[in-house]
Amino acid sequence: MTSSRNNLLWLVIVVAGVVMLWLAMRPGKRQPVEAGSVAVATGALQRTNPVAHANMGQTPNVEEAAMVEPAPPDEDAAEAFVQQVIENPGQPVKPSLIPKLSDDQVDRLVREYFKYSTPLEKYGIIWALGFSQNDRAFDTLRYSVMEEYAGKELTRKDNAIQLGVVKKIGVLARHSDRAWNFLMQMTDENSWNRYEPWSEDYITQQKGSLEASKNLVLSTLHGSLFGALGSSGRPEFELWANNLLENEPSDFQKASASSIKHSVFRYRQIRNNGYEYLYDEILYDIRMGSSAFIIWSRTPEGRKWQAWQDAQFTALHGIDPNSQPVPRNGP
Amino acid sequence: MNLNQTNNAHGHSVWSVVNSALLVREIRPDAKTARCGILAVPSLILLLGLLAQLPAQGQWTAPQLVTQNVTDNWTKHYSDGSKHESQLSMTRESGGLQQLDYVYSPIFQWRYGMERSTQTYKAWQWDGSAYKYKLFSGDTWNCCLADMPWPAWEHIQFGQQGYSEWRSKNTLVNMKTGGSERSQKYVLLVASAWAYTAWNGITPTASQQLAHDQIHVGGAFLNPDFRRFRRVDANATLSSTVYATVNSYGFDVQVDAHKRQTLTSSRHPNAAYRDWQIAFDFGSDAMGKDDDGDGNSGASEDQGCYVEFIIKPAANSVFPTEFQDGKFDFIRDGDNLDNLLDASFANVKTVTAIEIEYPENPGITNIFSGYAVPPSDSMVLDSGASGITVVHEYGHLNGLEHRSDPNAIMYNNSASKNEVNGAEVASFESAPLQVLGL
Repeated sequence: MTSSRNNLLWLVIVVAGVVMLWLAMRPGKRQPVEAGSVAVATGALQRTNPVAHANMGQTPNVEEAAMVEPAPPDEDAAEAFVQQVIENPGQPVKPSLIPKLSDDQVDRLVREYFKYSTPLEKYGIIWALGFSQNDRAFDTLRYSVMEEYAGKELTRKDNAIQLGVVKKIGVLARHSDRAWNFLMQMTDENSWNRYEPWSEDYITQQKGSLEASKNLVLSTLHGSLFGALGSSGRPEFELWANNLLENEPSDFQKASASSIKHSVFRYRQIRNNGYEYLYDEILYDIRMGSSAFIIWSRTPEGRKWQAWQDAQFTALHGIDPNSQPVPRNGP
Repeated sequence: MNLNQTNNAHGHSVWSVVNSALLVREIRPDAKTARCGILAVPSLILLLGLLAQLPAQGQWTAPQLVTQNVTDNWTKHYSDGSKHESQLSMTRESGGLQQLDYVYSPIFQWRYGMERSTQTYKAWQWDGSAYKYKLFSGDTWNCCLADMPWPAWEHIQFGQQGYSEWRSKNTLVNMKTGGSERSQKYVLLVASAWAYTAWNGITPTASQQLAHDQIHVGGAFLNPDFRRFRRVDANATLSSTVYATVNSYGFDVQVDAHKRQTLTSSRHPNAAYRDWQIAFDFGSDAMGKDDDGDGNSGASEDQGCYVEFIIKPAANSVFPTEFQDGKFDFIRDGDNLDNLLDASFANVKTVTAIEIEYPENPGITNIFSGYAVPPSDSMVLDSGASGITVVHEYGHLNGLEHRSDPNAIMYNNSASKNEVNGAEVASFESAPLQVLGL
């Protein structure tokens, strides 16, 4: 009896495997890619074709595109890219030009990463790892945020870059459950209890206090964390955000309400325009990103989240966010 | 020559007032040049009518004429060796604008001696129906333009002789603006001056073209393109002076309308206070300069661009409480920058520093001294931003993108550049932005 049950179980597994294999191999599921291009390896990054969807009488379903497995890596293109990053470790390239990297290629970039001491020197490597579509890059990015510069003082530029690393973890979370789980874990304030941030020399000088400098870095880092979630494009994010609308957020979340609103904006860009748009136009082109955000903030969804943000501020501080303060120094 | 001939020759009305702007006109000298003093009288009357329509003092007004002094010296060398030197001075004043002092002092140097004759026509007046004038003798005549007893010596003595001519004209124009709307000591006078390239069949030589004229403002030469000028040191409530020296056959000085943009400012409570009016005035002045003169209007051809900025404190002169966190003062994250940019409590938001990750140019020090993108109507400025930076950001708000020319105001890193091309002028001078949070 037990033996026949096992046989039946195996049969089900085999049939399910065949069906899954057929589903994966059937034509028409992947975006066409241009042979010989670096972008060949970024099939999953291709923007969903709205025209094609329109012809089908359907709304663009980017979520579906997000779940499509990336095209097989183009080894030559990936190798050329890795070599390019090694030669120019401080210069990020447009994300759509970053191919999916193999484990070995990620490892090589990680080795390069540790050759340099400042974020500015390895800015390009950070971007490459963040957009590598390989879970293996997560450990280095996590180490960069959580441990590498703990207690150290960074320059202005280095701090600006370093605060952006957590957003690369958000991008990586599209393909990395570990990255996503890490971000979700860090949305709990208690996860930061033993965290020691870095400081920035200019802020320290202006504030006259190392502690104040660290607190400002930490405050900004919290915002970056929440802002990173939407870049994953994961359906779980939408559930998480909707839950915030329906339930009382924690004070920690209230304090980063503006960044959460930003995260919703990024998620909406993925839904409406695809990953490539988010990556190249929003994350890489800062001004384009700001412009798109301002446009979004005037949509019904943007206004709804702005109202939510204002409500969180009032709940947290007990005052109207738009109240007029008294000038403290000078006119 | 009469007035109508002058108008026809140049295709526009000498005495017309365009766009409610003041028109000051000089007329080319010829044998009857002295008539320009007489012909100026109707313009003054018209001008008076214009000035009477201007808003009452205390409100912001277009520049008004206070006084105009014209000295006009010219010498004619005749083919028989004779020389004819003339000096003309003309003054008109506000208040008593009906009065015109006109002195005509011809000196005739004959080939066989010199004869000097000085005549002063004093106190030209308009009594509401006719011009009246006095000679120094005190006699008074009623007259009209057609039957003035004008000396006709040139016709008599020189006949059809050829001559060459040298002329120097100086016009001192005093103008004032009403200015209670703001307290800044800045007045933008946008004026244009141009010469007649061919007038009554006489084409000026190269040295007589307007390009060789000089226009001074406040005694300093400020107009590299010889076409437009501005002054920067006048109190808006006081008279300001424009001094133009023109060596040419004739010229117009016209005060043009220009764009005025009111912006509100607010700052993070911990950011240093900055008088942005000074910076915007500096930037405005830089935009107005046309370094390379008239050109082909191509993408790299600098043109004068005229926007006057009026900076006022917003109702929230410091950031609302929502934006008082330190992360909105030391901006290190693009999300915070976007949120601040999107807020509508002021057009100009001052912070201590903006330094966000910028993958395109990772090596640039002090990445953003200012930041603005449309469709927002506001900009975020480092409290140390330069006058060029503020107008650069203003250009972004008017829809302009970066330009690759390193001399352009819209260059990516344009700290000390001042060039604006024609397409950019159109954007800069387009409809004003919405005033936020006033």
